[in-house]
Amino acid sequence: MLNDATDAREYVARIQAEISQEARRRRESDPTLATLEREIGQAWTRSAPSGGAAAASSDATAPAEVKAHAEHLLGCVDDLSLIDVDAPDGARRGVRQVKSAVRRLTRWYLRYLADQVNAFNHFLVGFLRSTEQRLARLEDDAGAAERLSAFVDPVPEADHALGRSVADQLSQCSGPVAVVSCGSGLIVSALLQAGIAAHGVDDSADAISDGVNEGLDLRVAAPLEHLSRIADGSLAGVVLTRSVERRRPVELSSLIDEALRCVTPSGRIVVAVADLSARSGPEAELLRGMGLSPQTWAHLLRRRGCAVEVSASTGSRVATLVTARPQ
Amino acid sequence: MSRRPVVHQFIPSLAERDAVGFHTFAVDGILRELGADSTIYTAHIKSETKDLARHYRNHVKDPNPDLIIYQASIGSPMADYVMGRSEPLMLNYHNMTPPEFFYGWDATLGAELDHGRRQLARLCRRAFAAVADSDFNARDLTELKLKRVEVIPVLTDDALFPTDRPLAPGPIPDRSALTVLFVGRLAPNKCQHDLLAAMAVVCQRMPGSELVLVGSSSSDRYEQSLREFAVELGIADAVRFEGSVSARDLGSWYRRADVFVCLSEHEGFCVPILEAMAWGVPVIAFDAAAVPDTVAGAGVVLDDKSPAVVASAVERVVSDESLRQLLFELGSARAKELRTSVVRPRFRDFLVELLESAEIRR
Repeated sequence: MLNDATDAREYVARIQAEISQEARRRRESDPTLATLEREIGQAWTRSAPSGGAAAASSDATAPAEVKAHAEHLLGCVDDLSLIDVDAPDGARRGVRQVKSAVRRLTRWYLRYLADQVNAFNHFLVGFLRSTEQRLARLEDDAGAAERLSAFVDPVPEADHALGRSVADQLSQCSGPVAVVSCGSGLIVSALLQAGIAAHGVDDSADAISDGVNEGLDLRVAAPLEHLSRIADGSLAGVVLTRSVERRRPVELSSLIDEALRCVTPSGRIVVAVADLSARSGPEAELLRGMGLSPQTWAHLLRRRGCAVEVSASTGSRVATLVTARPQ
Repeated sequence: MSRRPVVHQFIPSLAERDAVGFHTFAVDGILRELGADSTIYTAHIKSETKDLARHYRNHVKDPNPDLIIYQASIGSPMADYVMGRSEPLMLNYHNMTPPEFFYGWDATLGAELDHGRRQLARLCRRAFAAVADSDFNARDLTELKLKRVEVIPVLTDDALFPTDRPLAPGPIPDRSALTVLFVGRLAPNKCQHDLLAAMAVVCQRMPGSELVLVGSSSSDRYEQSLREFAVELGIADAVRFEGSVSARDLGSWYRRADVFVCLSEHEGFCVPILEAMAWGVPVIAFDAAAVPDTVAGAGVVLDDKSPAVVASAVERVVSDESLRQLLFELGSARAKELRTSVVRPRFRDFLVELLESAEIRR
């Protein structure tokens, strides 16, 4: 056994480090573990009310404006709740009747104030309840789009022709390229064949397994999370494809911001998506409000100050490529 | 002081089975032992404590005390009353959960906690001395410019500690029937959802394992979300929500537990960690707030509580015999260090010094 308490505590500290290493090793050897962890996180977000999931963690953050309003409101409540509890109880002879009258008047006045405060509280509670109900309805509506998209077939894989078209657009790039929503890695493979260093990310471990077995650098990660971890200006290009057709405009806007941050000033962003008009009846209805047409992608990228080129693709499903260069 | 000193303790809510409630009664016992005329006042009297304390509204009618001790753990209108008094005030601080943890779950409780923190700032300006349960709690007070702060751990209920404590750790548990235990209110700051997340991975590697959560609920919405989360993860059958239990049942759970896991983001002390150590249960805890102070190297402290890391820690602790033996020995020693029989004399000495100080004699 160990000699003394210091040895014992050092031993426990070493075990703690070994546990972290063991968890890292398991994640690396078992890609499904990382997927499971992400799914657990998503399940908690679904189970917790809006704001609750973030609040129950150390990185709890509220929008600054909301927080500032809450601080101000609580400050006012706090100030108003300060009551001087030192009653004037020092008695003098002869003023008893006066004090009695003052007490009666005070009682009448406090009741008058209390009635008003109660009425205000009643209104405020009603208002807060109706606001909460309305927020719950809005949250429910917002979540409905994701639920409905589960009834639509997944976005098909890229084909070889699309891979070649994307590689042509990035032929001038010197440096690594990230392919968002890479699937089995056909675009990554085409880029490597064109001599461009590339890796892919996809949020499905199953989708990338074939490519990983072929030796491609494909990783399981949520697109936005993956890009957010990449240092500023460290990529020569970013390819956005497939799953971006199933995301809402506000998410896509964040994705563009992250992609622009990651690429060098001479880098390229290539968007390879099918036109919205190509969606069939059920897809058109169930995916309403998700994805953008190539023209809208071009518009968004131009508005962010990029030089944008729209070109034809030889891919079977994706007819148009949008290529943007930061300026 | 030639006559008997009169000391009044104020506590927002008094319950016998609550850690702060027990501590308040223990302080009352010390004061009586010192010959003081001690009375406890509270804003909420529970049925089991109605003969042991007075409602604070009656305080104005009672003789003025020489010293007021305020047990601070949440916001209360009583604090405003105490601050309006002119007698010397000593704080006994058990920490207040930051309101941010509750805003998304129970805005009212969040506002109460926020109010409590603001009151604490005013109480610190008004008090001349304080006792904090841990270094972590003491930092809260010194940041609020209170100069005289003594760190003395909370006085725990020794009855919750085992009398028939095992002399050695139990055998390596059966991997198909592992019991993971956490004791504490269901509250966002105690992060039972992180325990459920970790259990999803533990159950994959060791099917048949169960998580036992002992403690009442602070927020109905949080409890409901935990139950839904367990269903979503497919581990609803592996999670037991036991609620508040008697001391006897609590002892049974500690006896049955293979490992105690605490993933709280905020704890002012965390008495259940000590209880687990006293019962010989190995402790795994997340490195946050006062938890590392309480564990003090006698348990596995993690700086990452992602499910894979926690599951690896659980697996290691239940399968490594030498580690179990070591944690058993370190835990036993730590629990002994913080038993009431050891801590009580420190609190007594502090009170003796306080009652003889110039602030009280004036």
